[in-house]
Amino acid sequence: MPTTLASPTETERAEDIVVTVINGVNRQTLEVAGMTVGEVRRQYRDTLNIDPDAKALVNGDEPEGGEEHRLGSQDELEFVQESGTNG
Amino acid sequence: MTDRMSIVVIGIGGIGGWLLRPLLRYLNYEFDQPEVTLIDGDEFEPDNADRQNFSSLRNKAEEKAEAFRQEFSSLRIRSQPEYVTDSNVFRHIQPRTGVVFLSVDNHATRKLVSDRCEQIDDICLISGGNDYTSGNVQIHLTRNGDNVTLPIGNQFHPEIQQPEDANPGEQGCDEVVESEPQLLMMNHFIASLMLNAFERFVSQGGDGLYDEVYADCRANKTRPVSRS
Repeated sequence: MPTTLASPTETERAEDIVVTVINGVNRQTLEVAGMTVGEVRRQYRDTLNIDPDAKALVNGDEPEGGEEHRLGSQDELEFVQESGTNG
Repeated sequence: MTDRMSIVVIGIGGIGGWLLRPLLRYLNYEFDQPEVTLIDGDEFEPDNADRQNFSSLRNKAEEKAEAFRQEFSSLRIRSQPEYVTDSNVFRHIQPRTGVVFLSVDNHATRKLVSDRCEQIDDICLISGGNDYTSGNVQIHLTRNGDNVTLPIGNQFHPEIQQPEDANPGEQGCDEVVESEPQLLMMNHFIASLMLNAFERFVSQGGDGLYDEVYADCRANKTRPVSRS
């Protein structure tokens, strides 16, 4: 069966825009470098079940620009899920 | 393992109820006469029967302590039928306390217990909470006065650092808190993760210990996180 391989240029381009986005148990690699934290939060709110109030961390730290911080290639963006309430 | 161990379990509801039997069985066979104190100010009600085991409608801590004293006769199991509040937290969590299991239904009590554990040089606090299909377990370990892992009321969890809810032991009589629907499987999942954290602490201490674990029962997934 013939397979179609991505050209080196296409592969390189995909890696350039990849960000790891985390929320709770969910961890996905998405092509969102260049977008802001707020844009990712809004775009993936439903698919990743992101709380609108969840604290955002970029590479483990709160970004200085907050929701306007623009994500770079290979960044790790975590929306910190709140602790469970009930016991 | 033959070290003496003093353990406090705060909250004997959906999570705490599932936690107790395997915890007590493990303690019974792995430790030398451990002391276990069960604390809860709440009573079992008929509505709890969809998620919790009990045989009489009475205080949760007293009911469970009595039942487990018969099942594990070599353990010293005490009960304290009251909520943990500002006025009694120093009595319930003392410097000699080794491990605190916290499975309550409000962040105000989590904050209170977190602050108390930060004052103790050597203690392990394992706190679990859940929403309907997700939840987390946090582990705060101190050694010689230093935090090995983060306190559960930390900068990443402002909902605990600045709780908006109220401690049930400090509410007025006319304040009624509506309980949210819960899923038995999620309570059981969190109880199991708390036990895993305890076994990890017992066997390996703080080496490489994670700060928290997220869980989702429908995805059947967990994710441990180290932030400290």
